[in-house]
Parts: sequence; C-alpha cells; structure tokens
Amino acid sequence: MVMTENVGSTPPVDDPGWRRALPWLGVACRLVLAGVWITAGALKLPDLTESVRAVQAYKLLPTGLASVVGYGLPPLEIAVGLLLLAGLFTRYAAVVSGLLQVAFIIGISSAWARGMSIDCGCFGNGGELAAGQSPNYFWEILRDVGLLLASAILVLRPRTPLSVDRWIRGA
Amino acid sequence: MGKAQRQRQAAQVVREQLAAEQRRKRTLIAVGVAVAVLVVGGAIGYGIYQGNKESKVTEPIAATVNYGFQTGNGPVTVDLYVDFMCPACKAFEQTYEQQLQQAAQAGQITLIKHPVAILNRMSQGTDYSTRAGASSVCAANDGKFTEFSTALFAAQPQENTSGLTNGELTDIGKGVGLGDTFANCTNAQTYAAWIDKGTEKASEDGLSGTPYVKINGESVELKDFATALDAAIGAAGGASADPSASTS
Repeated sequence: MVMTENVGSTPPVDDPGWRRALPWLGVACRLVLAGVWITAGALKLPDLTESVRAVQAYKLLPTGLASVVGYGLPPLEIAVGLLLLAGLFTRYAAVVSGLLQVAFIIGISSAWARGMSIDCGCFGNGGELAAGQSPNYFWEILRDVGLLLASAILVLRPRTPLSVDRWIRGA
Repeated sequence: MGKAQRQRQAAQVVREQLAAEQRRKRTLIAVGVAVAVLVVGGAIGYGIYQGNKESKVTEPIAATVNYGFQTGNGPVTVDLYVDFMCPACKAFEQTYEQQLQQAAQAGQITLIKHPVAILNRMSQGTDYSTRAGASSVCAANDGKFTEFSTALFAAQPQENTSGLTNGELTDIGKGVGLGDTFANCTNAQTYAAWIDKGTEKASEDGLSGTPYVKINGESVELKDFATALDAAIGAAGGASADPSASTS
C-alpha cells in the first residue's frame, strides 16, 4: 500500500492529504483574524476619544458620524474577533470582518490619494503621526488586503474544525 | 415497497428529526451564551466608560478663543496647536516663539495658542500631555500662559517617560512667578476635561499632528510657515515679522 503510493509520480487530483489540510487553513484564518481584531479593539477601548480623533483624521465622515464610528468600532472589532475565535456564526462574522477591511482599505487609499499625512489609527493612536514619521499607507493596505483574503476564505468555507459551529451541527 | 424498507425510511426520518432538534437546542445555547457575553461585556464597558468620562468641563477664568489663549490683536490670525510632550512643538517654539511674540506685540498678528493632548500614550499612563495642558490653563488664569508654556517646553520630558509630576509642574510655575492658586489648580487638575474637550475640537478643526499651524484659518505646512507668515503680514499691510529683515 505504502509502496504503491510512493511509486506513483503524480499524486491524484483530490489528494486526501491536501483535502484534510484545507479545513485547518480555515482555522488558521480564524485565529489570525481573531488575534488582529481583538488586539485592535482592545488597544482602542481605553481611549475612545482618541479613537474618534483617528476616525476624524481621515476627514471622510461628518463629525457626528465620525463619533459614532469612533465609539462603535472598538466593541464591534472585539465582538467579531471573539466570534471568529470561538467559530460561532463564522460565515456572518467573516462577512462583517471582510466589509470592515474593505472600508479600511478605502479609507487608507483615499487618505493616500489626497496626499494626507496621518497614522491609520488601526491599533489605537489618534491618527496623529509623530514628528518625522511618514505614513505607511502601502504596508497598511497590503496588510488589510491579506486580512480581507482570510475573511473571504472563511466566507466561502466557514466550516472549520474546533468551532462552536461544528458542535452545533453535531459533527 | 417492502416492510423493511419502510421501517428503514421511518428510522431515517426520526434520526433526522432528532438531529434537527439537537441543532436547534445547541444554536439556542450558543446564541444565549453569546448574548450573555455581549450583555456582561457591554455593562462592564459602559461602567468603565462612565467611570473614565470626565463628568464636568470647567471653563477657564481667563478669556479663551476656540480652546486657545490669545496674544496680541493684529490683522493676521495665527493659530498654533501644541502638545507639551511633543518634541517638534518644542523645536517650533524655540524657532518661532520670539518672532511670533514680537509680531503680536507690534500689532501685526493675533496669536492664538491651543494646548492640546494627543500624546498621552507617550507618558506611561500618567497623561502628561493632559496634565501639562491643564496646568497651562491655570497659568493663563493668572495671566502667565506664555511665560509658563515657554518654561514648560524648556523643561520638556523625554517621550515614553512618565513626564513631570504635578509637583514639578508647580515648581516650574513658581519659577515664572506663579503662586498658590496656580499650585492648587495644577494639583487638582481642574482643567483636564477642558483640555480633552479642546483636543476633540481641534481634531474636528483639522488637527492630525502637532505642531499644527493655521494662518488666517488655513492650515500651513511647517516648512512653509516662515514664508507664509511673512506673506500674510505683507498682504495685511504690515512690515515683515522677521526682525532681521526690518532693521534696514
């Protein structure tokens, strides 16, 4: 058995080993996203006025709406992070996660396009850059695109091992 | 259809119903736990928020303009936003303060200096930016905002240290002739909430880093500041603000 497998030069298309690894890719996506969301939310929570300033720094939203987003975003980030960590309602949490990343990518791109000099405020910080510090728009967008991909994978394949969703289905 | 087959089908239906029932139950449990976490977390968060929220903003006794303090009364308005923890603000102060004060005294500009607190994360949890700003309001009440803020920049602590204590701020105040009222005001941090409110307002007005400068309401890049100031004073019909240029 083992020998015949070793003899074959090309593995079959649906290699069971590769297939078995796929769900664990989903677990990895969940854990990475959960880590990022919980960290981002937790760093913003202690100073919500700073979070509001970070939103205002983009100069995209009217003052009232910027306050709502500034106050609301950190709890939402933590909630999405916890759901992904537990693997509960994975698909819905991943949809929200992806939409947030899209919003962030739009925000950062627009700040970049307008030639603004701000900190993205992604992990706390009121959007102000320290003296002599230049913006990191490219890497911030690249990171958010990566996180968007991880979210998309979970939207398409939300069923992952070690999840509450799986326990609910009784598997 | 044989009897055995019907029995198998019936058993299959029962199994599916039981599985569906279990899924419903478990979904309810999961939703229940999630909602409970949300409610408890929300309650704790709201409690912390209420505890942290400065309940009352005390208005300074000194006259203020849009959360700033005014010097001079010239045709050109210069708004300067500074955080006492910010090294670039110190550099700006050392480069331009004398020139700005002279221009204000010569009636060329109205200088409005706004103490803001955007670098509280740089003082290891002691909120030095807010404390120093609040202390500067105490100094303003006694008519010594300019002197005190210059002295504060001269004694500026390093970023990522705990900053100066309220006692040290009081000593700096004494150095520029401030007394017990100032000391009490600094120790009580009477104007901390006012500084935070002013910082919010500054952010709404376009601040996204310090020092932030506006000339006649238009934000100006720091590297262009000297030129822009001269141009604005010139346009307003005054002589150049640069003393070396007006000695001829």
